[in-house]
Amino acid sequence: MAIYILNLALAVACTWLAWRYFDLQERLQMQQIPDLTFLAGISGIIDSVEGYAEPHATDMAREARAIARHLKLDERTIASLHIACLLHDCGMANIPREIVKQPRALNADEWFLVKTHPLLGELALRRHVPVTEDVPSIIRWHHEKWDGSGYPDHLVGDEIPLAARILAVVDAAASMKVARSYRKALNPEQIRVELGIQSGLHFDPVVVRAREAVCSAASSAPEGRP
Amino acid sequence: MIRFQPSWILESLPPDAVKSIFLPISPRPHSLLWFKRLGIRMYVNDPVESRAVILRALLANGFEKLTEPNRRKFIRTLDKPFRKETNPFLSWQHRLFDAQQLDYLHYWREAAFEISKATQSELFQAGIYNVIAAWITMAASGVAPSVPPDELLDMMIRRCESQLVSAAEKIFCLNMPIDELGDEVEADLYVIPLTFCGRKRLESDHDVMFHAWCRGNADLQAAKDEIDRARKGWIYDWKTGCDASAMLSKAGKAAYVAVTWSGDDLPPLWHDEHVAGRLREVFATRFPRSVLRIKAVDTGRNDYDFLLLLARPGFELPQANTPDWNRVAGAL
Repeated sequence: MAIYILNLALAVACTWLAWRYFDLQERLQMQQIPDLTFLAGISGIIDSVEGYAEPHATDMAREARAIARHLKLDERTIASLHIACLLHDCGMANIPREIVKQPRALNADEWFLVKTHPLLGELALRRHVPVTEDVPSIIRWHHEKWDGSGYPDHLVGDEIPLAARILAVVDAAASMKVARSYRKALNPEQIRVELGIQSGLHFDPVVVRAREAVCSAASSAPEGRP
Repeated sequence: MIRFQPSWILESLPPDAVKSIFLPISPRPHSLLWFKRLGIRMYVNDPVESRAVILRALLANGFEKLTEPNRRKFIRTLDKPFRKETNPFLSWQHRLFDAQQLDYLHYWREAAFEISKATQSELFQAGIYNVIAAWITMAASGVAPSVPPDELLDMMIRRCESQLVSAAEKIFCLNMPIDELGDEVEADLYVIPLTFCGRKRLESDHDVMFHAWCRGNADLQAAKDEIDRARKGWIYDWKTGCDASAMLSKAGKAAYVAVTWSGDDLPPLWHDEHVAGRLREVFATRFPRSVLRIKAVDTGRNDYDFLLLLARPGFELPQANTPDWNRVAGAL
């Protein structure tokens, strides 16, 4: 009986120690992640430069985290995705203002310059901001499309890192919420339909489905709860 | 699988060092549009004919779009099954595609051969490559296509057309066995996109599927074997590595060599020792200076991209990882 109790106690102790080990490891990793409040402030500046009146990147980050949790990504990847959302368009700062603010359709040369913003963003982060190392890659590929028609590298399907595929979906959804010179702002249902049409073409179907699940869970949650 | 990143290669070399590039085998041709857009002279070969078709459609083609008569004639809705008894892809039914998709794949193959002008037919086939890729990924995700086949092809061809740019420099697209390529190519940069022996299912490999479609034979294993034979020694085999000596023999007069690959399950150190180490060793006779650049993609999955740069004596090779971001866009 005593041996049985001793074994049981040992098993409990080992389980507790293992839990503590992984918990501490995760906390340690999180400590290496930059101050998100500060980055959120920087992203607000980028939003205003881009002409968004409302918080754009922080909303995207919130939605991306929810989708990533739904898809059971690990905490470190979720943190990288969060930072990537906040800074995803930082490369636009290097694109001439007269092109960014152009109300007419861009010509081929102007459009080529705009398409360099993920590369400029990636390089700026690698050079100037000590963020977690996956973040620049997520930013580089946030305009890649599931069917290979995106830019800059024309990656296809799961060649695109999952975090970048999530960022692509939340970025598209966020921009659809805002009115443009060539279209009105879309409501949540219209956005859902539009993303559904592009599921399997522009966007990873798994991510689109996860977003739907997250949005429907959020809309059915009691008021006051996130 | 390879995430080929032209801008990464260029930004890692000295400014203005690259005016011309030679690739004995091609990565996905769409990714080379970046070089074309920047006005770099390219000599691109692929020993696989189906890949060479796409190369010509996107790179050799200046600005030629699918003509309206061809668009009207060949991108049309099929009202009834198309010659089911002669469809070479019937064995794919219920496994990969539904009956309607197979009808279109059969019809489009005949149409591709009926289009008399090569550039028109190649552009048409480039659109079909994209359609096949889209259908495969949709099937793998359990998503029904939201766009009918004819509309999807029209959309994909228009996307290809929108990616076309006129080349400032001549682009040579070849379809030759690698052994027969001349050894004296005069390009500044020699690029080797290194892929690894496939663990990918044949049904989800876009290149194998498209090659099978081009051959008009549903046997995917035969298509894969044909591709592997054509690229023998240039695909990294887990047991035997790659034929680094054959690679070196094609360096011609290039001042720099760039070998790039993606790895998704082994730590970077393994790639440094086994892949880069072997290449460095063989290339050292003519390219004694080298640097391996590593880019994190998803560290949780050991997913990294690698770029091994080698230089001849007397040519500068930036060691520090300090890319000049103003050079990315070139025109900025």
